[in-house]
Amino acid sequence: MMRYIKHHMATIDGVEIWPLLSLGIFFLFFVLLIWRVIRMRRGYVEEMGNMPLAVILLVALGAPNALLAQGAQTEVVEGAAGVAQHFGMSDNLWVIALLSSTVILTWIIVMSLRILRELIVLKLSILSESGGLSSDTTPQKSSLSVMAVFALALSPGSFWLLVMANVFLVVYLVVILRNIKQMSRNMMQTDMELEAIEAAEASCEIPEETGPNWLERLWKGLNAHVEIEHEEDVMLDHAYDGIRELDNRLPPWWLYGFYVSMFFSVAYIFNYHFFKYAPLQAQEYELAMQDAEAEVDAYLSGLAANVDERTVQYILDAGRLSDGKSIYKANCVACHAPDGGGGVGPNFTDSYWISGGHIGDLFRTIKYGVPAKGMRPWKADLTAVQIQNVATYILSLQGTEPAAPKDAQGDYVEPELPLEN
Amino acid sequence: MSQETFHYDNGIVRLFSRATVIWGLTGMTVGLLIALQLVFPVLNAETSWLTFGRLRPLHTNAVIFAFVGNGIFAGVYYSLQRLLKTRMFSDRLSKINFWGWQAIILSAVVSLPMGYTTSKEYAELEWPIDIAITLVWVVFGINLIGTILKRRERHMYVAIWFYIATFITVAVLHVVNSFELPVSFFKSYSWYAGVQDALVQWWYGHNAVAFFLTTPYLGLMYYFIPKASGRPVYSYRLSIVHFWALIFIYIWAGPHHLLYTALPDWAQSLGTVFSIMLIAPSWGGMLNGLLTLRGAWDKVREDPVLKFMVVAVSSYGMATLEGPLLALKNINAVSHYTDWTIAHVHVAGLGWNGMLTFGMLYWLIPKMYRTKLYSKRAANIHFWIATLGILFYAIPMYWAGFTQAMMWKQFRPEGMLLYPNFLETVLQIAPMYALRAFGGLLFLTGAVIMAWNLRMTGKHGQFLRDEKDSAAALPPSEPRGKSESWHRFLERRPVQLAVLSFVAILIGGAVEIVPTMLVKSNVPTIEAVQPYTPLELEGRDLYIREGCNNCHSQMIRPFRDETERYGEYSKAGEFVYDHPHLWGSKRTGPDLHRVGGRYPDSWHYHHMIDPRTMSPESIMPPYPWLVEDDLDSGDLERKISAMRTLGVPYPTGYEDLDERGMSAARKDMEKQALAISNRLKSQDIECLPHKEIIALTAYMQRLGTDIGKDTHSAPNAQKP
Repeated sequence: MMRYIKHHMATIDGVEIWPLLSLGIFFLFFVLLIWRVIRMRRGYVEEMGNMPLAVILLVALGAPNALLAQGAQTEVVEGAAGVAQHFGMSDNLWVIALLSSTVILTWIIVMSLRILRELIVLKLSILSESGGLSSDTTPQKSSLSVMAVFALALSPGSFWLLVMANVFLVVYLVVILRNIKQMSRNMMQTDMELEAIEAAEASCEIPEETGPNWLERLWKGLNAHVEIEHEEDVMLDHAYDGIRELDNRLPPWWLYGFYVSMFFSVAYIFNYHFFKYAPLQAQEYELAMQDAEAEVDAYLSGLAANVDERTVQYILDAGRLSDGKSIYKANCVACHAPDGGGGVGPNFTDSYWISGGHIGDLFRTIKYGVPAKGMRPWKADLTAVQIQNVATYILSLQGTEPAAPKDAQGDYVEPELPLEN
Repeated sequence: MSQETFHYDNGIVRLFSRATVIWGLTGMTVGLLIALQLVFPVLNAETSWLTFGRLRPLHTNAVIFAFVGNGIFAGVYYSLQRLLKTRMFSDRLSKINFWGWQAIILSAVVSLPMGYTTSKEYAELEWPIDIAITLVWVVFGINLIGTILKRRERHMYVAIWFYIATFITVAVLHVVNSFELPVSFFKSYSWYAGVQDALVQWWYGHNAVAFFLTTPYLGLMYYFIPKASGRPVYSYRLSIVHFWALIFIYIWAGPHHLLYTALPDWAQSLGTVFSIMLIAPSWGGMLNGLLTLRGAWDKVREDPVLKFMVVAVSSYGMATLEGPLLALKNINAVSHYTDWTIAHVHVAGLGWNGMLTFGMLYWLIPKMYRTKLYSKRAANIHFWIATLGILFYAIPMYWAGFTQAMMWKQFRPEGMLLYPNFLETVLQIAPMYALRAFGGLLFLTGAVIMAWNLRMTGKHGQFLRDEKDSAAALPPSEPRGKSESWHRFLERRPVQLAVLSFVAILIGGAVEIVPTMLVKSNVPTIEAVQPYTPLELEGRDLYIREGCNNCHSQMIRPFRDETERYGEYSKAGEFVYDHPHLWGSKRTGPDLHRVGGRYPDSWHYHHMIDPRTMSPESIMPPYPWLVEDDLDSGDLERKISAMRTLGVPYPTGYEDLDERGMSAARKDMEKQALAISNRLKSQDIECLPHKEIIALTAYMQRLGTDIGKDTHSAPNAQKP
């Protein structure tokens, strides 16, 4: 659907409808927010008003549980329920309404994050163009979308406004989620159980003036369990073969972690499958291969000596031979025997060659293989220098006496003489 | 209300407990053997039924279905009766459940080393055994539900919700994944092919972990931890939330076993996000277990039973955090196919299932024998040896996994692989394999000590076969009261709870599997891909028989290092005739999807007789019997016919016998075999065309070569 809208909007004139639409959504959202505040129970508003700034900050920092630990949650529950009653809605309906608002909110947040991203990409590209930097940061064609046009229209001031709005929206989302949790909890409990919990929570409430420091309060808030001394207060009347059950609250850190994982999941799916910001695997592979190719090209062009089958020369020296020998031992002995006498593959100690006996021929044979004869290519395994060295070593085997020489194969080639080193 | 007196059946619990110990020791011993085979390949003993490829499925089946399976039954049969205040529904069904399950295990112990396998991981057993499993599982289900129905306890405790979900889901998984078409009594082909088969397989494989190794054990945890510690369960609410979240979300996560494969991207993404959302529900179980021990930590210090359980629950928490992280694409790109996965499953298997089973047995046996544990000291020694064993197992495997993955992925600046020889990366981690075997040995030693300790406990006690208890009869059920929450109501409505669980576990599987089956665009067809020739089909069945897929994948992922090492990455359309798929999940050896045409026939010939002649120091077992044994192609016509039923387009009448009793398929097979035999002869190897190696070579040389071919001139002479 996102793609449809995007496509549709991109083809019509007057893209400024986008900001208008967003404005409409925001307007509606704030009207609803004000409506809610007006119709809210007085006690709840007061409670909010009395809330210390530190707690609000904690909420903003993603630890709204601290607020719960302050014992405010019963008010919240009643507050939310009160609103629901004002609307003449049942608890169920209210929860559904809240849930759908979270979906809408999530959507709005994702949308505005997207705008922000476009904006940042654009800003970067403008920077790089003016600064004469490399073209790496130039936005790709796709990013010059409707969103980008909209983003471009924003002043720096409104950029930060958007950031603030986003933060606010996230916080509000968390608050709504908390309300949903409270409501559903309300629905799940019998009156009696609720009383027991309230009593228990009252017992874990600690007077402010002598209370523990904020860290301990936060810890308490994050775990929200009833102390062992008071656990009889939350003991349910269940007993199974002597096993009893407490009714501790869901640990808030656990619960909010669960919410975060859900949020992550929605964002992940949108990222890969709707907005397509992150490449799927086939595209990811293409990009990786392009990068690698560029890297290798850059490296090779910086190398002075880059031998191949046309330029390679037969130069004997001890370093080359010993390197060639170890390469031979690691890769060739299975088919050609450790002493070059041959096996599955031909004998190297005679002067008969199937695919040519000059250093360039050997280089080519090793590099590309002779698949028809069973010789595999080695260009993926060995560097040019390594191929040169092992070819040199193989040529040096001519005339040696292997333990079990294979019969000569191919044509006689006059042994090539090494160049003086 | 009048009190009724009745007796709990301890006899059946003792039977299952004994089986748990015996099969546990067996499964772990086989595990130790195959771990040692990776260090000392000579232990494969050039004997077909002792090779790694055949024993690895035996190890996994033995520890999952024999050790943990009997552990589940022992724990369920003990706790269910007591939680419901009634004897089991039927003693006869209990006995059938027990002996039937042991018969299934015995048939696995015989058939897997003989090479009768479907190749599908954790579902290797052939179709007659699959049917037997279904029957015994239904017997267990009837016994479970019957017991619930005649209960004297109105509400069902959380453990029983987990038992119900286990019964239902395992039944669904087993039946759907085992859809196969029999060819003979010992051979069948999976109903699904390629991508679909892989998805169904890992939907099953993942949820075998979920609903065989996790949910029943969570049920046992919910019974045995409060009983052993004397503490109330931490949070009833957490039980409700994490139970429903767990069973609903778990079922979706299967595709995370197939990240970066030819599985459609959307299915992979679902697998990833549901794995991430699974962290909290899994941890809910861990929290409820650990927090139940609040106020009992002094007992944990003293009591070996609780020690085992604490390590078990902690391992569960670690494994269920690690699992979702491994389901992230960037981590999976490194971890998949390496020993990292092996480390992960053993933290869960040894830690969670192993330690919880031990703890349970140490608690259960003295109770039933009305005595104290014979030696608390020995139990403590067992605890420390086992814990150390887990560490010695897991740490080297993590190390090996990282090391090998890094070696696979490194390039020279010239653009070639730094370690082009796969074997080099194996030899690098060989010392880690040795350490792992040592860890396994420690764990096994601990289990032996436990077996002795429990035996001595039995000797010094007196077994109470029928334990007396009394409870009030259950009054008729009432409608839901105003103050009763809906879940509390559900807890006394077993049928509704079962139906709801059923719905919860169906959704995820259906959303992923049905579109993959039905929507064509999920598996783009490739015209050049043709069915296997009869000889290649026979060769493929040998590949399955020898369990090659246990060490070799056939799925090249779209990474630079993999396409450099193995060739073009694997496409969904290449597997449309693969019943079953053979993608594999671990690369102890290199990927084989594009091995076709890479080596001459003679290379395969020598390599199969003794891999070390072609790759010095290779740890692959030798397969000399492939050269000696004649190919048994008696079922060829039936195989072709079965494949056609499954949708493979062999020409009509291809398997029909002519007047001389020969089918066109057989003629083609013999022709191709002769060609390979002649090719070998030209390379100085005398090998008769009817030997097994010829068929296997034909299959290997075909692998992955189709997409390189011109669509209209597939060079296979007998293109059907």
